[in-house]
Amino acid sequence: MSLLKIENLKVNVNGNQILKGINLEVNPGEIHAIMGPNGSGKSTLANVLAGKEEYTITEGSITYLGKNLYEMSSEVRAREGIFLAFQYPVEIPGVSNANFMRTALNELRKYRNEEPLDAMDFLQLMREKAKLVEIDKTFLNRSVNEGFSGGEKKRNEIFQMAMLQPKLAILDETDSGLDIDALKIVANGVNKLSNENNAFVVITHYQRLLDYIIPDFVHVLYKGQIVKSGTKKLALELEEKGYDWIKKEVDLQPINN
Amino acid sequence: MAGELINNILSNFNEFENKLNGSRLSAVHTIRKDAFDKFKILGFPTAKDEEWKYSNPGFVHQYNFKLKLNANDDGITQEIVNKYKFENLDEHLLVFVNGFYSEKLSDVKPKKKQIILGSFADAIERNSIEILKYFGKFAGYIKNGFTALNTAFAQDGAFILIPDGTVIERPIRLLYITDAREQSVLTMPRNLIIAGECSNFKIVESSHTIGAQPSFNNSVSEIVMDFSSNVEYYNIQNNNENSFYVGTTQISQQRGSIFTGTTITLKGNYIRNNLNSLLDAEACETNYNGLYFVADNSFVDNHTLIDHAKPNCNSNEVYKGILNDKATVVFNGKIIVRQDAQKTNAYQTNRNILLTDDAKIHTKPQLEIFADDVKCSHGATSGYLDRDSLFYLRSRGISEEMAKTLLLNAFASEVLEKINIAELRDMVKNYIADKLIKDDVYFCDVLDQIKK
Repeated sequence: MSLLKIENLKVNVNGNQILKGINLEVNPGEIHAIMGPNGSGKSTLANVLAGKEEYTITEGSITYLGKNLYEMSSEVRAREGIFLAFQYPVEIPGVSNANFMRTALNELRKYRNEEPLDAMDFLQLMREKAKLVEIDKTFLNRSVNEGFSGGEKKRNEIFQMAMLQPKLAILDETDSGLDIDALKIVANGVNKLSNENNAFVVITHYQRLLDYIIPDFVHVLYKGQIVKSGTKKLALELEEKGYDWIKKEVDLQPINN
Repeated sequence: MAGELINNILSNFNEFENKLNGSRLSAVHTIRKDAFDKFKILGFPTAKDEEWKYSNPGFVHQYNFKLKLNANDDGITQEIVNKYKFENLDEHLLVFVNGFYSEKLSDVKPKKKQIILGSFADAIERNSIEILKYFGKFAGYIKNGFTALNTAFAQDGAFILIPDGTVIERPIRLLYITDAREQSVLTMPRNLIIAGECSNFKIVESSHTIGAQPSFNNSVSEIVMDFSSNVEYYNIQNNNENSFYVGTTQISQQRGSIFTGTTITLKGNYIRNNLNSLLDAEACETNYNGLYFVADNSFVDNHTLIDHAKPNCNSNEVYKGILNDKATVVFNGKIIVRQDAQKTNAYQTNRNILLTDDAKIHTKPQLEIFADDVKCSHGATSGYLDRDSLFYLRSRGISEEMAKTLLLNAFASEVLEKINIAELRDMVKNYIADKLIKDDVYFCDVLDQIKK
C-alpha cells in the first residue's frame, strides 16, 4: 500500500483554481522533490496535505495509508504521522518550545493509547533532538519562534519533526533564506531521520538543497499540474537551463481542464 | 419600581442617624451628612453621564436591594468562609459579613501591636486622628453618586494601618461575604488603608455572595501611601451571576512610593471598577495590571485614572481580556500629565481577544498631556484568536481546544506573571484552564516541574 496517493486533485482558494489535477504517489522509504517556479501551487499542495481550512477541494482524492485524508482534521493528520515544515513558521509569544512540544507529543501518545512521557524523559528526548539540529539548550525555554532568525525558525521545524517522528514529512521551502551552513544542518537532520518506513516530500525552488538531500524522484509543478517527473537528473537540468524550457513546452499545449 | 431604592435609602438614612445617638454631632458624621446631601442631588449615574455611557447601572432600579444597617454574622459559619480561602495560602484574614467586620470569623495575627488589621467601625472610636485626617479626603464624592452614597453610610469595612518601616510578609485578605439567601442585599464597605513610611505589604480583596437573591456591593477604599512605601493591591472578582459590584479605589502616593494594583475579573453580573491614583509627589511608581476572562452575559467596566501631578514619576498600565459568549467589557483608561509633571513616563496597553461574535468591547484610552518633556504611549487592540497560530499548533497534533488554551494562557501570562502571590496565580491559571478544557491533561510548564 502506498503511503500517499493523490489523484486528479483540484483545489480552489477564494474561488481561484490553484491546483488543476495533481497526481502523485509516495511510498515508504522514498524522497520526492517538488520543484517549480513561483506561483505554481507548491505551497498550496503542502497546506492542503496539512489540512489548512481555507482551501476547497473541488475534485479528486487524497488517500493516506488507505484512508481518505479529507475526513481528518489537521490534528488527526498530525497524529496519523503527517508533518508539514512550514515555509513561514508563526511566532507564538508566551508558549515555550518545551511546553509546545510536550503538549504535542503527549497528544500524540494519548492518540496511540500510550502513557504521557514524564518530565525527565521528555527533557532528555528534547535535548537529544536539539543536538541533532544544533540548536542551543536555552532555546527550549524561549517562546515558539519568537525573535528567531529565519534560519533558527527553519531549524526549529526540523527539530519538531525529529521530536514527532512522522511517517510523511512535507518540507515547504525549508531551504529558502538559509545560508550554506544552516542548509547543511537541515539536510543532515532530514537524512538522519529518513528510513525505509517514512517518506519525505521536499518542496524547493532551487536545486541546491538536493545536493544534500538526494531525492528518488523529482517533479515539476507548473500552473497547478505536475508537468514533468524524473530522477535527480531532472533537477540538475533545471538548474542548468532554468524553468523556461518547461514553461515553453507546457504553454504550447492546451492545458487539460 | 424606579426610585424605590432611592426612597428606601432616604428612610435608611433617618434610621441610621437615629441609631447614632450622641455621635450624630461627630466630625465623621458631618462628612457623611455632606455626602448624603450630594447623593440627593446626584442620584445614581445614568448612560447620559459621559463616565457611564457604556455602563448604565440600571440594575439599581431593577431590584429592591435592602441596605443592611447592623452587623450580624450569625448565619455565616467557618465552613462558608473556608470555601473562599485560597488553597495553601497563609494569610491575615479579615472577614466582613454584609459589609461589617466579623471578629468571630477573622483570623489576624500581627506581630507588633502597632500594626492595625481591623475594622473601620473600631477605628472611628480608637483612631479618630487618622480617620479625620483621611476619611473622604481622597475618594471624591462630589461627582460620583455611588461614592457619595457609600460615604454617607460609611460605618464599617477594613481599617489597615501599617506603621513606618514595617514589612508584612503574609498577604492581608479582605473577604467580603454577602448573605443573600433570604432577600436582595446592598452592602457598602468602607476601607481605609494607611501605609507608613517604607512599609511594604500586600492586600487581596474578594467579594462573594451566598444565596440566589441579587446582591449589590458598593465599595469604596482609600489608600494613603507615605514616603517610599510599597503596596500591592489585588482585587479578585469571582462572584455569582446575580452579583452587582461598583468599587472605587483611590490611591494617594507620596514620594518614592510604589503602588501595584491588580484586578482579576472572572465572574459577576455587573462589575464596575474605578481605580484612581494621584501621584502628588516626585519619584512615584504606579502599576495597574488587569485581566478579565468573562463569559455568559457578564458586564465588566474598568475605569482607571492615573493623575501625574508631579515630575519624575512612572506609570505602567496593562489590561488584557478574553471575552466569551455575550460578555460586554468597557476599558476606559485615563492618564493625566499635568504641566508640572515633567519627565513623566506613562504607558498604557489594553488588549482583547473575543471568542465569539456576540462579545463586545468598548475600549477608550484618554491621554491628557499638559507637560512637554514626557514619554507617553497607549495602545488598544481587539480581535479573534490568530488563525495561523491555531493551525500551526493543530498541525503538530494538538487539539483545537488545547491549542486555544495554550494561546489564551500565553496571552494572559503577561498579567499572570505579575501576580507575586504564587497561590493566587495558580488559582487564576487553573480557573482559566478549567474553563477552557475539561480534561486534566498535561497543562503545566514542563520546566517549572523540573525545577520543583
